[in-house]
Amino acid sequence: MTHTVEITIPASLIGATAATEWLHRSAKQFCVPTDQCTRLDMCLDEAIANILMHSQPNGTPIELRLNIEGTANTGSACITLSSKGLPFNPIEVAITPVATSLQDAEPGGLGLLLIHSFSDELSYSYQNNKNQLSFCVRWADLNPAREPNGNPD
Amino acid sequence: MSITHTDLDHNLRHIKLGGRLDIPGTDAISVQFTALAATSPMRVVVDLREVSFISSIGIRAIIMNAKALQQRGGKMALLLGNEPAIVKALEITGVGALIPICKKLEDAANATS
Repeated sequence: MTHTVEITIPASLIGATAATEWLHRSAKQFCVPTDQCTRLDMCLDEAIANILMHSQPNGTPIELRLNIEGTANTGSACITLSSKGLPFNPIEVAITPVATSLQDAEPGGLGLLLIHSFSDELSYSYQNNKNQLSFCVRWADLNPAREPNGNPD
Repeated sequence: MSITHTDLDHNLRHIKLGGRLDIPGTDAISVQFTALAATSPMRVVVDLREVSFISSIGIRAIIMNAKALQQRGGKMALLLGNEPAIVKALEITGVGALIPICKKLEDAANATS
């Protein structure tokens, strides 16, 4: 089964809240496992934060598309964010090494680290004057049904 | 997002955060969080046990307040629950190397001494 849901939000705090609610509502509707929804949630928050801080004037539309394939046992879910603006590929930005002391700690750089860590797949393209960032998570049943003798099939 | 605090003694403050430390949640509490972490008690325990989600914005707020506290001669410790995504986010971003992370309030309070 494949499901696609879309929403357009403003690049703002209100938009970020709406995006989170949309993700959780959609994930529940299409049986995305809770832990996988959390991974998507993390990536989505970081991607929107990136747009708010670096590329879009407040209120500019951000188009979100969620594609879900499979079942609650095995499947994948991908979110694509599209927004107008100058080309900016966050995937190419070098990830700053994490600080090892508070004295050396500086703001910034942690969001990309989290997107890379919480997603299974990350891609970027620039089309029709729009930055398009996609991230996916995949899941598989790690405890498949067992035969009556207790041995996995 | 919620933020409350209790002064456990004249020099130890327990700040409890609850809800989502995402973009809107962190924005909602950032001024009060900084004010509570920057005033007189020099030992601060930030309780994340009721936080359901944390992204880089929230982590950054914690780190910057801990850094400001340290620059004034104080110290912060974190009190963490068992939420897997929060534990993972803090591990990935190396927060444990910057700020003591504890499971019990008593241990967190001792870590600020």
